[in-house]
Amino acid sequence: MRGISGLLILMVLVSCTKKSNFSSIQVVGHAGMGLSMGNSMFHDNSKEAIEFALQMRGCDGVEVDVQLSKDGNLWLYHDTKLESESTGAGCVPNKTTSELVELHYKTWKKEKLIPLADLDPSLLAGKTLYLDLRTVNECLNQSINSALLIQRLNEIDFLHIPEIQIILVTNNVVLANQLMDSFYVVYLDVTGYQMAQQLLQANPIIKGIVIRNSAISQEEVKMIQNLGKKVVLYDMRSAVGIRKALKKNPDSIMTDDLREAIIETN
Amino acid sequence: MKSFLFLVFILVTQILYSQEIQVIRREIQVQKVFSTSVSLQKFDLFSQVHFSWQTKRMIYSTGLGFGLNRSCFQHQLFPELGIGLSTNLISLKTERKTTVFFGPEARITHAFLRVIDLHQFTSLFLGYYFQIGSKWSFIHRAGIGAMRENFRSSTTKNIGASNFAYYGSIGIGYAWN
Repeated sequence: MRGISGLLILMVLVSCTKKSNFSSIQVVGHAGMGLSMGNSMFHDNSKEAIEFALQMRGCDGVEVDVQLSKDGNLWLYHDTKLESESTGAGCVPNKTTSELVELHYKTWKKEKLIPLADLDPSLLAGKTLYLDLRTVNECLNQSINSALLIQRLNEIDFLHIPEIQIILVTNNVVLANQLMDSFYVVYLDVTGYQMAQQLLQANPIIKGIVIRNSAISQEEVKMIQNLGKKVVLYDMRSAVGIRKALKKNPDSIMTDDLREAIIETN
Repeated sequence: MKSFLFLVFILVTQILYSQEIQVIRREIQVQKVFSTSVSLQKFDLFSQVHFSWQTKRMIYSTGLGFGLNRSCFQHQLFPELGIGLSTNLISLKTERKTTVFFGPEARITHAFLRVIDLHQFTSLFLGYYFQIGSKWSFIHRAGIGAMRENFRSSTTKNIGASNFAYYGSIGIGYAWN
């Protein structure tokens, strides 16, 4: 009995300790409510997950994964192969809209795959939407048609509303330059600090980088920011991981546990 | 799941028969049990205390728990209240006064987490209850069900979503009277 009382008192004391102030760091839901998270209410990149995240106070935006279908429509799906998470098989760039519209995720709720154009712009007002652009058809080992990708992006009306901040993310430097020619804000998806530094020096027009939390230190984040570039960290699931990322003082975190990240920053 | 139930069955039979005594079915006395447990759920690992009122046929229980991850590592209390009702499908008492209870259990829990707004998690589970011991006992519960998360949105609308949920707990109990 004494032990239990002690544990309860300890919990109260721990929960009352003062937290650091991370309120200036933007909190972004990775693929909606988080990627492959057991405690997420919906599957990543589903309309339900994205809308649920955007309606949460403290959520500054969401990141979604965008792939170009065979008939040139932009669809939200993370993995390279459809069979890994959905009822389909093959790759999104080999499927037409009429085939993709029939698919759903292999979950209890059977959320449908959705095109980018189906997102509700009213929920995105005042928020940031990160579009992670997939540029390779892994089934054919071919690059996708970047001119068609840019054309399709240009055709989606809500990507050009001033109330919604759109940031395009790619690991393809050629595509990044093409996108910037079309007046998009582009961040590079990089794997390490050295790579980030080289690419940012060679392409000074790029506005920021997206990098795995474990691949960059606090000092390196600071050095990238000193170049006038934004730093977005991703791949953090636990409270400890989120706190470690926040202590690096990035501009944004793309978190897999949105509730935990909002608690930490408020 | 099947292999787990089989394992529980083996555990019970081994404990009973290893004592080389005859298991006799007879009326189980009404008893009050205070127990403490850890419970794995969709949103956290909960540390719980329960109070159970056990009769011949039914076990009524009420409990209070805290999400360990969020309460200990995130400085944010995540309390959960629950009530449960279980039927003694199997209730045995050996000559050494070892009591075994096993039966289906229905459980309702309600948890609160302050994110910015208050998020409320209501769950309804159907599962089983297993208890073995005398004065001190080992208690195990598990179940599946549905849960609903509710909160007020940034536009002050009431937002809710439902999903599949589960729980599995182990703990120790102490009986008096």
